[in-house]
Amino acid sequence: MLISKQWLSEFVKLPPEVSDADLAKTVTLSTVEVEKTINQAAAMEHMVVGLVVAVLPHPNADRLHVCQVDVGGRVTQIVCGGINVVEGMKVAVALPGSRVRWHGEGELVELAKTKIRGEESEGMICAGAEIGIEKSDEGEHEIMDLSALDVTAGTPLAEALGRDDVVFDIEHKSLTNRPDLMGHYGMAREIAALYRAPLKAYAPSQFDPKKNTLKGFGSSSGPGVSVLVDEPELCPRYVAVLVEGITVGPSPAWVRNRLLSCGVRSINNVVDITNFVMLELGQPMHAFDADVVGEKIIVRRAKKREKIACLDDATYELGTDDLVVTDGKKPIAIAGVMGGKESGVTDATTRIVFESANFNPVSVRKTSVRLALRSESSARFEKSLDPNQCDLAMRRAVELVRRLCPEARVVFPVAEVYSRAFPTVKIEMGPEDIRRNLGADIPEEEMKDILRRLGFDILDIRKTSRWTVIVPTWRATKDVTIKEDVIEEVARIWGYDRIPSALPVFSIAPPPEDVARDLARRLRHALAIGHGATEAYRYAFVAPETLTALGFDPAEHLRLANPLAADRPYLVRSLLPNLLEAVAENHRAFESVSLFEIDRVFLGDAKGDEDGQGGTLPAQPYHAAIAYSIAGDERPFVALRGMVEAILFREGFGVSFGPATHPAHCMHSGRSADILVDGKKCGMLAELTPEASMALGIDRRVAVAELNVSDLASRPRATASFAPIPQFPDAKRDLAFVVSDRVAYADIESAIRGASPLLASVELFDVYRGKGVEEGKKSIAVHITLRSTGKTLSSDEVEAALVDARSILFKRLGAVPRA
Amino acid sequence: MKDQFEQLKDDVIAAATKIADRDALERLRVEFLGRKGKLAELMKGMATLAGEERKLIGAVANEVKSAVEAAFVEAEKKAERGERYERGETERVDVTEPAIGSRPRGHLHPVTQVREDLEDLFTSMGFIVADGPELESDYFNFTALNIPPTHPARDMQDTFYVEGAHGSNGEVVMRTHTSSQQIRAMRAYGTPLRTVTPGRCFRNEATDVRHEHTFHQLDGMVVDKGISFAHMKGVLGIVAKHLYGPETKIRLRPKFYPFVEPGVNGEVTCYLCKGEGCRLCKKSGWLEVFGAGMIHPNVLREGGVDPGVYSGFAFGFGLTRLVMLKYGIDDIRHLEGGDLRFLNQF
Repeated sequence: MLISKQWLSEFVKLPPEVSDADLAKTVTLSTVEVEKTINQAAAMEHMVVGLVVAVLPHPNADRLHVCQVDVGGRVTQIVCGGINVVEGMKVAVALPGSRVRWHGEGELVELAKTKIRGEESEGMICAGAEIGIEKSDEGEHEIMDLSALDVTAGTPLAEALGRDDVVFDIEHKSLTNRPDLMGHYGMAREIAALYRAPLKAYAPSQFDPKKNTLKGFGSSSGPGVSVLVDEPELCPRYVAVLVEGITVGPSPAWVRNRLLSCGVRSINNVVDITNFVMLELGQPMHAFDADVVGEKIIVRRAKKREKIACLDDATYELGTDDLVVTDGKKPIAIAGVMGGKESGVTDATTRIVFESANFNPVSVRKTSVRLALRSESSARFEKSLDPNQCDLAMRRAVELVRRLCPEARVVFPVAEVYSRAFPTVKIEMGPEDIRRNLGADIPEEEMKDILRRLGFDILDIRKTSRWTVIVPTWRATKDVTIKEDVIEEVARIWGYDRIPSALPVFSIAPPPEDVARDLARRLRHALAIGHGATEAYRYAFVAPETLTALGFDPAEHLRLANPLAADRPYLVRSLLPNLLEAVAENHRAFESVSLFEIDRVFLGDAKGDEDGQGGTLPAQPYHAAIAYSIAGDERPFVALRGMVEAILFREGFGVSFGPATHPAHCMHSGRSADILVDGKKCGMLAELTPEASMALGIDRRVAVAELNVSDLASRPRATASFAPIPQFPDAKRDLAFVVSDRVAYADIESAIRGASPLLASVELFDVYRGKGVEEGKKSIAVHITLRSTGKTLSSDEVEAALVDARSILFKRLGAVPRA
Repeated sequence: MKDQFEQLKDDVIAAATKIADRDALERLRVEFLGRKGKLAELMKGMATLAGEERKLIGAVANEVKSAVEAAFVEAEKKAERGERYERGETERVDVTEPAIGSRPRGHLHPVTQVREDLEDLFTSMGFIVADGPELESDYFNFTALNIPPTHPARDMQDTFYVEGAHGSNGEVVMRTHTSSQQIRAMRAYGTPLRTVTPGRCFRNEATDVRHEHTFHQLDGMVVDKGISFAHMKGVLGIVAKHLYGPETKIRLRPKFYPFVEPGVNGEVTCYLCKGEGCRLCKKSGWLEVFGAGMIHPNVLREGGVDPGVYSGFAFGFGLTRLVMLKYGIDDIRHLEGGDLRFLNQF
């Protein structure tokens, strides 16, 4: 929200030593964030009003003129391309050193004295767009004509145009709880409290009930306007006034400039008055054309499917939750949100009804959210406004009509329905509450002074050190309701920097462990540091194309109700699809792609944590996914299996691999495994089918693995236990044999282990298929270790064990010794 | 005979000093000093000498022997030095040459690194590192945090709603902040409580250089009897110093969050310019990195904590923002992007 310093200055007199930067900082540190301070005049530095005293054609350019311009006390030569430049015209002159936007486009450029086609030119005669004036009425290739301004040559342009204000841009969200600051008077009141500066009372002329008139202002008595409110809860107060004899036309410059400083476009005098009052007091107002709406206003709930065309040229269908202002027959405004098109003020309007009302914040918000229709008005009402300001705003509006439209007349009586006055908010508390909460020893008198400056009343409760704090009406609508709210008021004005720092004292009880989180952390480190994999973070959302490319059914996934971009509407059930997208993006630039992610997945068909309302949320276990691909490696499965085995083994899991029980469609049926821990599945490992790789745009083999980390965390783990160091030397031998390719190594190993009680270990060291080995067979070689705890083994004993092993291998598995 | 001994001594020493090869030296040693060596032979001749003379020559022989042995020790040392030098030359490796075929280095995501650093800091102060669902009930994400459905503060956080979460008795959202864990933590652990919750959050907004619908926060809270705003300043001051060095200060200014009262926005001294004002801090000297406040009594009540007895503070750091500041990352989209050219830098 934009706040004009000139406007503020009408209400609060700041000490002269307070700079704009000081003000912005103080407001930011104690109240709301000032995002930017815009010095309008700074943008027009070195720009003045010039009087064109002579215009001659440029000797070397058809479209240019050589002008002699009085820039205040001296005449200078400027080359100008404006087609409308004539002698005697007042123009905007940018002198050397000023910064302009050439032809209204591109970056700002600093002007210097120069020659244009051989003619000296000291500066530039400008069009509005070149000096940042957006709404300037000159045509194409024309310059701004300032002849109508009553200023002399040399007047600084900012001053001449009324653009010498300083504007503070207040961060919008920081006003969420401070609707009282959404107008200049409220901001002035706050600043007066911050600086202990005098604040002018906001006291527009009273309506005089006896004379039925406003002092010094034409009026007439008549039936006036009547108001009926059907829904007092949704409209606690409604004030309306009929004004006749209006001439709709442009507003004077001082009104236009005020609005412009606040970023509001000037429409016409009547609409500008409503906006002016809103910006000044924070109270939204509306003006209806009385010849359209008549003299009877009824505020009621909309009927089902009732429609209204609004000022934004859109038509809205309403329901019974929406509040409307009607003329007794049809809606003329969506209450607090936007006025109707038909009842709006036009150039032909001569009679108007001003509305200054208070609407229920929740109702306004619901309607505005449902219709996706936000306005300056709804933004204020939904934050809870003080109903006391309705009549202040109305009086101010009428006062402005008197200035802008002196011939208009107010028709009395003023119509008002004030059915729900807000109760006074009283909070019982004491200075100790504040000291304890803040941990700061603030003197009681300081606290009281701060609160009083902010408009709070403090009544000491007799014979106690407690107070009754009475909250000012403009803060009592919602923001300040409990003692903590009052504590904040004291703290922010006292200064957060003056509150000391202290450390809390706690018992040394150790925090409980989170096994899944710890495991996830250890796996991350093992993968990245031990196994050269790189951790990626991927979205929780996945695209349907990626799912279908992998043969997953999007319908099995949870879905965003309002996806930002329709391209990723589904919540992941597996981390692989998005990780594989990353492989696709990286694999051309990197020979080796080894990526992993540990994150949650979202399972709509399994129950997770409780939702706080008696139900459960979808399960969201942590998964770990790894994708591994190296150019030229046609069996990446093998290396990835090694990686998975190593990281799980390191954590003490009894890991093994078995043929996949239900390989996904996208997985290579001959290279798919279940990852087993203590024989129970906890994940999968496979290579993608070439078709699936291709569908994702990956043109080489990729192996993937995915583990359920939350499940793993609940599995038992082995811890190391000591066995005595063998006293007698091991006997080490190799066994080599040829066996059918379909025989699983796991079976071979268990056969060898069962052959002799002396067998201490079996270790595979070679597998060979191809030349020299019969088709469909493989040659296997293992190191075996034999050990006795009681003696040194003799060579006969060792031989006997080897014979047994060979014989079992042959009998059970058809393995024959390698030739 | 004495001359013979002297001659032998001179011959051996002259020969030994010339030899650089340890094998040749050993052969020379055997030739002169061995059991059948030249010295031994000469000494045999001593047997023929008479008493006085024999004594005299014996002394000479001993002197020659020790001089020769010393010469050999010296020569051996020299030879060893020479050999080491030669081996150093012939077996030289290029120490700057990288190991071919060694496994490439893996990388932890920068957010992981910063998050773990903060987790370790907080656990060292006795905080629980809590964890909770990312797909969260509207109740825990908003309502229980004093943000009823009609509250304008909901505008502060554009929310992703999720369809099809049938087990839940209300709306289900992608959590918009890690503060959604606050009520869960109070209910699970009770008081006194110190906890932080790092994690992923989601907001329904268009992505660009500075905005990302998926980002990371670290939320924390402390609840006990007598916890004050001053304690909040103390703890957050420690975090700021940990992150940006011992000279770092914090600055608090009012900010509205429905779940705290008073609520503040927290800035730390800009680490780049030390508060002088620079491009990074937009000339302010301060960097905005956290929000905080005293926990609202309504929130304590929702967590099953009596606000008449207990008080507490809560805070939230933008982890994503900390990471971007720490590494000077200029485009937030890199973080969830999976590009190895980015990830390999950390």
